[in-house]
Formats: sequence, structure tokens, C-alpha cells
Amino acid sequence: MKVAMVGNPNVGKTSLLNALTGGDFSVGNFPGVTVEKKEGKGLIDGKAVTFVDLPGIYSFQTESLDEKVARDYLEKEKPDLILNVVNALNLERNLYLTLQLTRFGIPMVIALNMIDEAEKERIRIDTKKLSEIIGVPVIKTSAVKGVGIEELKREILRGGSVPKVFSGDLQDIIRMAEKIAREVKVVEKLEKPEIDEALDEVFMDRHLGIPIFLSFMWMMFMFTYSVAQPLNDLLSFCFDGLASYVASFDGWFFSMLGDGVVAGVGSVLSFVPNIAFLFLFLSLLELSGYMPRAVFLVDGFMSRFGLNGRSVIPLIMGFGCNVPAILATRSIEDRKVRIVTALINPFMSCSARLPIYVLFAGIFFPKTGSVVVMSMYVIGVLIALISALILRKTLLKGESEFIMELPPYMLPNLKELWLMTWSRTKHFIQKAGTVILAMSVVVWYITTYPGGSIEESYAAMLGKAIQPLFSPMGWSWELVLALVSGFVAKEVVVATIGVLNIDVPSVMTSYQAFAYMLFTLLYMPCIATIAAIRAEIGTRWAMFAVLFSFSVAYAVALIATGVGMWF
Amino acid sequence: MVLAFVFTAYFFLLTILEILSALNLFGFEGGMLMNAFVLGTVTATYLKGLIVKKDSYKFVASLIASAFSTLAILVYLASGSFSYGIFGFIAVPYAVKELGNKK
Repeated sequence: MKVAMVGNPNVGKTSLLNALTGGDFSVGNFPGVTVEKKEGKGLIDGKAVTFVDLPGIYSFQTESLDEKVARDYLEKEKPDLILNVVNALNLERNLYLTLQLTRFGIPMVIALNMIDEAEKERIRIDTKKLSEIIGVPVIKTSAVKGVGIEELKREILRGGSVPKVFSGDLQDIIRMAEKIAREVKVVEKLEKPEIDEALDEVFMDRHLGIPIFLSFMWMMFMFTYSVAQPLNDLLSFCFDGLASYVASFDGWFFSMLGDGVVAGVGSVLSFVPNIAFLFLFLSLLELSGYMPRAVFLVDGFMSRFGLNGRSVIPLIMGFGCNVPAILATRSIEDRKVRIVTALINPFMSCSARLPIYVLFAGIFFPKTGSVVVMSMYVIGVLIALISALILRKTLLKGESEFIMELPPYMLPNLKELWLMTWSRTKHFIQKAGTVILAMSVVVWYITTYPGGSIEESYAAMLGKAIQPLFSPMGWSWELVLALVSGFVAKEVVVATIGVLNIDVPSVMTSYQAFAYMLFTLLYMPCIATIAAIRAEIGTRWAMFAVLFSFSVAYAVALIATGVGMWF
Repeated sequence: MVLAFVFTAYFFLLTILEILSALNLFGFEGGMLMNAFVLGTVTATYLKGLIVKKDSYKFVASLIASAFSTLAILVYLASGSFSYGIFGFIAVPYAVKELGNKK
């Protein structure tokens, strides 16, 4: 049995999918988290059910890619059942989509989700009446608290009912949705909860909103860099010891295992605490409902650079990983804004670059490490915005606007917080066990053969051949080689430094290190990101992204070196 | 109102001390300008609440001060780096009390 989950953004579809299947799909209190359909399999009373989580959409009226994904799936795949997830807090708006779904003629069940939040706001919905009007079963649920899940499972097994068809143009549908909502809904109290009102009044304050947002960002970097550092040092110490111990045995195999695998993978895994702490803080901001406020707050500012609020979501996601962030640009309806957002996304410093900053900041800027790390993020954002402005004024001219819903504030559920942090951190660890492991072996091989020493190795030949390009910055061939290997995945830069056993303080000065950090922030995206850009906006733009980012990185690093030499 | 005034003055003093220590002036040392920025934001939030006579500003400023204080304590324990933000713990009882009232 195949069940398609359809609903507006941020109504808790993914949470409901987790509750129904016991899965660990990543969720967010943040519109636009699901950008591709995801599948989850579950057993209900021994019967196998496949749930397909479609991207959140408001209607089938516009040309955005996520609406196309949802429409194509319903028309071509013809699922056995539509599970329409409706936000009980905003019935009218959600019913526009429900009424449009009736046209597909597919059996349907409505899950009236977030019912606990609605009841808190004293919103009462007559589900029996709603069920009679639309002609399908309506179940009250709260995915987070597990309310109504068993009843929903039973209705899914029964197969739902084919709804009555509601036809007409968008205006008719809107009128019908409003009429139905008036008939089934009673609101005893209209005003927002006192706490939401107090938080919104200050967080969205014209003068204080941005400083408060920047304060939270600074706290995030303190948490990521300073609080996680002892764990990072401990892991680093353990992996270094293990690498030396393994490499002390005779034979090429132990040399590969110690100097290659353990040194390379270990040097990257040491940064897991920093990555996990970064994701924990981001998840906390996202699940609490603060992040959409921040997005709303900076919308006016973004419009000055030819972007809009919808661009902010992929840009913030880029702090985690650029690949899903580029996929998230699908929710942007304006094609030109979408292309610009995808092109500038690699300038947003992804988590893979954090180990590089932490390593260099720890060595060269021990007292001001957090400031240096934060400056990388700020410079990345500034370069992204300047690039957007240039692109919107030249190659991709035009204007745009957007609409965004502000979800209620929520005290994050610990389970959701853990699932979100873990699913993102897991991706980093998996990469260490696959791509980085393979690259560590490659780097070990090319640094050991054919001569037996690094100076007479393939790596030395490659590094020395490319090094003249970077001679204005004064970087040694070993550091250049680390940059080349970072093309596979940015974490590999640190892994290569580990395998090459580079004594970083002896080969560069602090301003050269800062320029190196800037270069790693801005230079060409990793292979996975290039593939994502190519898939989303085409080969021509992917090639443009590579050349553009490399040129920007080179120019910025050169300027940083030049300025540094004056001091 | 009295409490808002006391908090404004108190956090203003912490901001000044953090700036002095960040700039290594008058024998103070070890602070950071970004920490001073957060303390300044907290002070400005209390001050605005005082000007517009709204408790919501006092409540949110206390929440931010409490969060920052917790973080500053964690940073001190983890790395030994000191910030005057630690003394923001004074706002915790008020934030907790108001959180209970507004729920």
C-alpha cells in the first residue's frame, strides 16, 4: 500500500511520518525543510505500508518546483491513498490545498495535526462535520505528542474514502475553504499566547531585532568553538596516539593504516564535537520557531541584494551542508532568484569547512579563535550578498517578493532535537567512513610512493607543479596539495594535513593562515555541491560556479596576504 | 520599573567592564568585544522596555542574559576564558518566574 503525505509547509508531515513509521527523518519548525519526496516504510498491524512524504506546498497554482514534484507524483504514480496533513491552527489556508486535492479522485484521509497547539489556543474543530462536508475521514493528531496516531493507522488501513470533488477557479476555492472553516471551527480566544506576543514584540523589534539575531549567532560560535574544544582536544590526542602506535609496526600495511587511515580519518573525526554542537544550536533555533522570525527580519535587507526571504532558508541551510541547501532552492518560485541563490550558496560556510578554521584558529589565533571563526562565516555571507547583487544587476536582472508563515514558538522536544542533530551529524561521520577514508588512503599512497619519502613522492610532484600559482600567497606545496584534495570534500583538507604531518606553524605566518582560511572558505565547491548545482540549474551554471568561486577566492586571498604584509 | 532600571544599570556596567577588558585598559584584561556586543544588546533591550514601559522587553532581555550567562559559564569551565557575561545569572530568577507566569 502506498500512501502520499501532502500538506502545506511546516504542518508536521515529517514528524507524523516519524510517528507512523518509527523512523528518524529530519524535521524542522521551519517552512521548506522537505524539498524532495522521501519514502518511509512501516508495518501497521502486520501490513506493509510505504509512506511518501511530498514537499510542503500551499496550492497547485504556481510554478515552483516542489509543487511540480507533488503534482507529478499524484498524477503519474497514483498512490493508493492521500494522507492530507492539515495544520489545525490555520484551517482556512490549509483547506485551499485540501479542496484542490479532491480533484485527483484518489481516496483520502485528513490528519488534523497540531491539535494540541490548537486546543491551547482554544480553537475547537468539529471533525465530524468537516468529514461530512469533504466526504473523507478526519482524525485529530499531534505527531509530537503521539496523539491520534493509532486511530490514524486504523483509518489508513481502511483505505480512506474518495472525497467529494470541489471545482472552480482559485477565488472559488478560497471562498469555499473560508466557508467550510467558518462552519466547523469555533475560536474561543483569538489573541496569541502571552509568551509568543512578548517574544515576537522584542525579537521582531525594528531596532533590536538584528542585534539580538547577531547576539544569537555569536552565542552559536561560542558554543561551537569554545565549549566543544576540550572534547575536540581529547579526540585529537586519542587519534594521534593511535596513529603513532599502529604506524610503529613494520610493513606497508601498518604504515597505510596508521599514517593513512587513522591519521586522516582521525584528524577529521576529532571535529565531530564541534560539528554536533553547531547542529545542536541550529536545531534549537529552528525547532523553537525563532529561525523563521530571523528570516522574516532579514527579508527587507535581502531584497536590497536582489534576493528575497525564501533565499534565506537555503542560505542558512548552507551552514550545515551546501548540497541539501541547493536542493532547497526548489521552493523559490522566481527562476532567476533561484539560480542566484544556488550560485552563491557555496560561499555559505558549510560544516565541512569548520575543522579547517578550528585547526588554523587554534594554532595561530588561540585567544581570539571564536572571533576568527565567526569572521569566516561573516565574510562568506558578505561575499555571497555582494555576488548576488552583481549577478542580479548583470546576468540575472529582475525583481521578486515572497510570502512566509511564522509558526508558533515551541519548547523544543528533546527527542526531535536529538533526531535532528544526530541525522545531520551522522552525515558528517558517514563521510569520514567513506570518502575521507578512501581519500586518506589515496593521499597516503601518493605521499609514500614511488620514492619512499614525501619529497620524492607523486604528491610532491603534483604539489610542486601547482604551487607556483599560489606563490604570491607564500603557501608551501604541501598546503597547496591539501587544497587540491579538498575538491573531493572539504574535510579532506584537514585529513591531508594530518597524513602529510605538516608542521603548520613552521610553514606559514598568521596572516598567511588567515588568507588560507579565506581561500578554503571561498574556493570551488566540493564535487557533491557541483553535482547538485548541475542537477538543479544546469551544466553551464555549474561551470560558472566553479570558475567564479575560484576567481573570488584567489582575489580575496591575495588581498588578505597583501594587507597582512603591511602589519 | 525599578527592577528594569536596576537591570539596565547593572548590564550597562557589565558592558563597560567587558569593553575595558577587551581593550586591555585600566588593568582589565581577557574580555571580548563580541561579548560586549551581546551585553550591550541586553542593556539596550532593558532600556527600551524602560522607555516604552513594557514588561515584554524586560522578560526577553532576561532570557537572553540568562542564556548568555549559562554559555559564558560553560566557556569558562571548558577553556578558562572569562567574560563578565557570567554575572548575567542575576537575571535568571526573574526570567524563570516570568516564564512560569506567561505559560
